[in-house]
This record gives sequence, C-alpha cells and structure tokens, in this order.
Amino acid sequence: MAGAQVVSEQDYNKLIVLHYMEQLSTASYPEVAVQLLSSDYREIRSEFENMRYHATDSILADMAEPMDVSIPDRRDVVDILMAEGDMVAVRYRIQGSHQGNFFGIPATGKPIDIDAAALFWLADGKITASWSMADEAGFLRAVGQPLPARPDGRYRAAPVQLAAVSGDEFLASLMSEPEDSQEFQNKLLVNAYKSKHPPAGMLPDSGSAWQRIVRHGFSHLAEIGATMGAGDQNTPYAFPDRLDVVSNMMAEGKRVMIHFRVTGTNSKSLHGIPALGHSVDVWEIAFAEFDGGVWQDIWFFGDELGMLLQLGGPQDFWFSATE
Amino acid sequence: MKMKRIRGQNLALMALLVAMGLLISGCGETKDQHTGSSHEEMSSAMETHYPVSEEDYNKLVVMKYMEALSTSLRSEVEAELLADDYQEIRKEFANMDYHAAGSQLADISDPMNVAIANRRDSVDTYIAEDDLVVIRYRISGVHTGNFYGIPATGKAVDILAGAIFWLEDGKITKRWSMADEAGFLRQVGQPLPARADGRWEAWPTVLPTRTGDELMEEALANPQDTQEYRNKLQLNAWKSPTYKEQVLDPDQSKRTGLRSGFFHIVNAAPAEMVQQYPFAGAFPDRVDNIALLAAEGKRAVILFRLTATNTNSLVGIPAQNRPVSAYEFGYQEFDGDVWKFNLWFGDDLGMLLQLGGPQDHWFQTETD
Repeated sequence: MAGAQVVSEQDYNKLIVLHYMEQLSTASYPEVAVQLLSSDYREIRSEFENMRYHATDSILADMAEPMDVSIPDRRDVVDILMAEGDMVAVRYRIQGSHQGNFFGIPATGKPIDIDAAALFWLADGKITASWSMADEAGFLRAVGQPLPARPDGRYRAAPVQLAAVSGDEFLASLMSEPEDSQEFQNKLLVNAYKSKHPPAGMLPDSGSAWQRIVRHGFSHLAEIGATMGAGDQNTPYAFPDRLDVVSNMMAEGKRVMIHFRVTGTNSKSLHGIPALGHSVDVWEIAFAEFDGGVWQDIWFFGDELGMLLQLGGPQDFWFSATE
Repeated sequence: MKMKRIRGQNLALMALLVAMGLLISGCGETKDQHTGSSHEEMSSAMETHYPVSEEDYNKLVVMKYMEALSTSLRSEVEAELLADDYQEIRKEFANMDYHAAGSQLADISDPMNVAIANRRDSVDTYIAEDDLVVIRYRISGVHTGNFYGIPATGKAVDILAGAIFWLEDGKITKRWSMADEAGFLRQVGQPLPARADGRWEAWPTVLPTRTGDELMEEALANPQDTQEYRNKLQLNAWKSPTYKEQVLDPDQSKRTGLRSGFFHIVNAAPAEMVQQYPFAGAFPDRVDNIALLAAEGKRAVILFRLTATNTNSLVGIPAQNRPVSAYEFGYQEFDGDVWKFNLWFGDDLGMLLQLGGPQDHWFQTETD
C-alpha cells in the first residue's frame, strides 16, 4: 500500500459506518460488530422498534425468528451517507423476501423493499450508539398482513427515546454560534421550516421553501387515505396544535438532515382514521438537498406504525385492505 | 468538512490541538450527548486526523466527486479532484454521444444540465481495490432539454449506471462509465433519432481484455488467503470455460439474480419471440473476455465484453451474421464463500447498433 492517507474524523466515521452497513446482513456481522461497536454501545432504537416492542413478552416474540431466517436474503442498499461532528446519518433501503416468522407474522414469501434511516454516534473510531427506523408500515403493506394481536390485546407504540427541543429553541441555539458556511445557512433554513416563529425573511412569504418533495412523511397513510377521499386530512389538519420538536440536525456538502418528532393532540381525523383525542409523539427524519443556497428537494420519512398505534382504535383495516 | 492531508505538518502542533480537543470535549459531558449537540461541536479545534488505506481515501474522493457532479459546485470540485491529465475513456451515454457526433443531432443537443435539468446521482455501491474505485449508481431526473438529438419529452427517467475510476495521489486520472442508454430511450418513449447520413454505429473504442481462462490460470498460480481473492476467483470462474465446473458450487439456487445483462433487449421483445429465439441461442460462438475484476469486502465486480457472431435470431431480431462486442458489468455480493446476489448490466444499445437492421421498433415498445 502506498503512503498513509489522512482524513477528517467525519470522513473516517463515514467509512466505519459504511463498512458496518455493508456487513449488516452477512455471516461476518458478529465479527464486524465486535470490531466496530464500542464496549458500551447502546442501540437507542432498533429498525423495527414498534414491532419488536409489540411482540416483547408475548407469544409473538416466542414465534418470531431471527432476521437471518425471517428475511434470509436481506440486502441493505445505502444511498445517503453524511457526517457532522461525532454523528453519521444513513438513508438506506432494506430488500429481501419474507421467508420466516417476523415478529409474529408467519412467512408469506413476499418480496419487500422498504425505506430505512439510521443515525450513528462515534468516538475514537467506534460506534457508541445508534438510532434506526425502518418503514414498518411499508413492511406490513408489502407482506399484506396486519400487525398480529397480542393475547393481552395491548396495542402500544414503542416509547420514544432522546431529548428534543422546539424548533424555535433549536434555531436560537444554532444562531447563537453562527458559522460562515453554506452548510450552516442551509441548516438554518431547514430548521426555520420547523420553527413556529422563524426570523423574518428566512422563509419565502408564500409557497414551499423547496422545489420538490420526493417523499411525504406519512406517505402510506396519505396514500390509503386518498383511496377513501381523505387524502387531504394530513397531519396539520389532524393535529391543530401540532408542534415539531427537533432532536438532531446535520449538514454536509449539499445535504441537510433533520431528526424530529411530530407532537400534537389528535382532535380531527387523520386520513380517514377517526380521531380519539389521543396525544401523539412520533419520530420523523428528513433529508434535504441544496444546490448552493437553493433548496432543491426534501425527503420525509415518519414512523407511520408508531403513529397508528398512538392514535388508538382498530388497527386491522389499514393493513388488511392494502394488498 | 474538507479532507486534509497533513503529511509533513508540525506534529507538536497536532498534539496540542488534540489535547485542546480532549479538554474541550471533557467540559461538555454533562448533557445528553445524543441530542442537539452536533452544532456545538468544537470542530475546528478538535479536528483529529485519521489514517486510512489508499482504497478508503480513493473511495472518499469518488464519493465527494459524485456528490458534486450535478450541482453548481461541479467545476470547483473537478478542479480539485481531477488530475491534470484526467481522461474520460468512456462517457455515460457513449453510444448516443458517438451516434450524434458530427451530425445534425449534435448541433441541436443541449448540455446535460439543460437536457436533464434536475439530474441526481445516487451511488449505492463502492468497490475499491488498489488504484481503482468501481461504483454503481442511478441517474434520475426529468428529460427537460434536447438529449443527443431527442427533444425534451418532460418524462421522468431513473436509470442504472456504472463507472470505474482510476486514481493516483488522491486525484482521479481516468474514468470509464456506462449508463443504461436503452433504459433512457424506453423511459422517454423515443427511438434513437436517425443521423442525416443514415449511419448507425456503436461507440467503437475498447479496453484491453483477457480471456477468463488466462486470468484464472494467473490467479490460481498466485493464491492469496483473503475473502476477496476467493470471491474474485468464483466470479472469474463464471467466465472461464475450462475452470467453471472445477471452481463453482454446482448449486446455483443459493444465488438471487437481481437483473439480467441485456435486460431491455429481452424485456422489450414479445414473449413468444424470446421463447422461440432465446438470448442464449443467438451467439453460438460467444466468448466473454474480461476487462476488469475487482473485489472489496463482500462485493466483487467484473467488466467483460461479450464477443460473438450473431448467426441466429436474437429474440426475433433477424440475424445478419455480424460480429458483436458489447460490454457488460457484473456486480456481485458474497456472504463468506457463498455467492448470494448477482446484478448484470449490459450495453443493450451498443449491442442493438452492432446487430444492424432497423432500430426503431425496439424503443417504441414503451413500458410506462
């Protein structure tokens, strides 16, 4: 090998996470995990966290098979990798076929290809913590099955971890330590979009700040809702007191990532689901792309299964009617 | 964050910076370190520099290059990352470019940033070995301007592409690319437009190749105890008539095919034609010659040329006994020694042009 090359901590962390993601669904994973995860590694949230939480301490967990049996041909396709500070963000797709019991759902043999995102924190070249979210609602739709019932009848979303502050507070904190870079400007703009009271002139007076929306946060609910004439009953409609709280942000090159939660009281129907007045607190992650200071597009990805479970009421009709 | 190369810099200063970084990070430990902390990083003072292999460094260079390609930073990043003697050996749309060159088609075509105004490149595979980085990516966008003679259709495109980069001292010296031109034509629903002089020819330049058997013998004579070597050997054997059965597991069922090589030629043809004149029967003297083999981790990639004489009909296209020499990429994934996935990606448009005969009907069987 030629002389050693030296890179920034962020680039180094990206290489570690890329290596980790490449080995996720291979037999080398245990070996790579020992090598790349720190001794105090903490998995803050797993990919299928609601399904895992729903199955835990019930017959569903007893029937469930490990991932390499339930999706033996799983592939992870990473399409965005970005880093800032000690954090790395990844957007990927999980592909494969459902060939074993998956958190209580018997094999259907159906192909799956779903979105996922993850955040990793690193120190000294090791992964110390991770937060992941796979499109569980997308999985259920792909296999054409509802979330199976527990014998005790409990339907609850996994509790959320990680602190978050209001968009206003996050923005104030960002602006207290300004940086002279395009990345910082882009981060401010994305943060302002999640702020109730953005500084004057930061966002356009009318219309979207971005040119194109690539994916909606609650796209399954919107799509199914649209078939029932409830496509416009979106989250601002269903949660008039909606407040988004921001947990993490990152900017690198042309991209900005924002990791936030949608909170509110479900006082009106969300895409046809009758409102029961429950309060919700649901994860969402978004990746924005800029060209210079022009906000080109945005890709939102929300925890739709978590949302459905928090809304309460019957769950079945969403996933039985969607095949 | 820019990559920095610190060879020859003052080590004492470095040590001081690292110590300062530790001190500063030690002060901020009281709050939840996974929340809202990213913007508070003392990145300038804390910047530590990590040694990486040449392959990993090259991967980061290519990553940065590809990220900037369809943005207004392109020329700046090109100046930074391309070597002075940078050479583009093959363009992404090599056949369309060659077909248009020196004709009225070239005069009416717009530059890429007009023809696909909102182009995005999404790289999902990096394979770095020695001075090479091979990628697989998708080109997506909307056909908004004249593309090698095809006027804007306003249609969305999302096509596969592959590229090989050669690097030296952290700079890109050469690039060889191939985009799915036939996929582009099918998605915009247009045939390749005719040149005024009526010429139909594929892009002619070739990379040197060697036979699968030759490469296999060389590899077997120089065994290495690495997963990459074993994976490359399997992939090499697939293209080696003499060693195929000796090396490869006869149980092919473990392998999932994600894409077949000349996907469009087969997919656009009527099913009964595919059955009557299968791809495999069109080239009885087919020989695949290897231009490149590389492996990293669970992945291995091959670039080869399918060379043959078209003596029988190919999925209904009348045989004209022409010689064919078409490129094909093969992106493979292994799990240990088990070959799990294959994705083949051939130059459908190049092959169609080499077969001769009418071109139009292939691209009017639009799928969308």
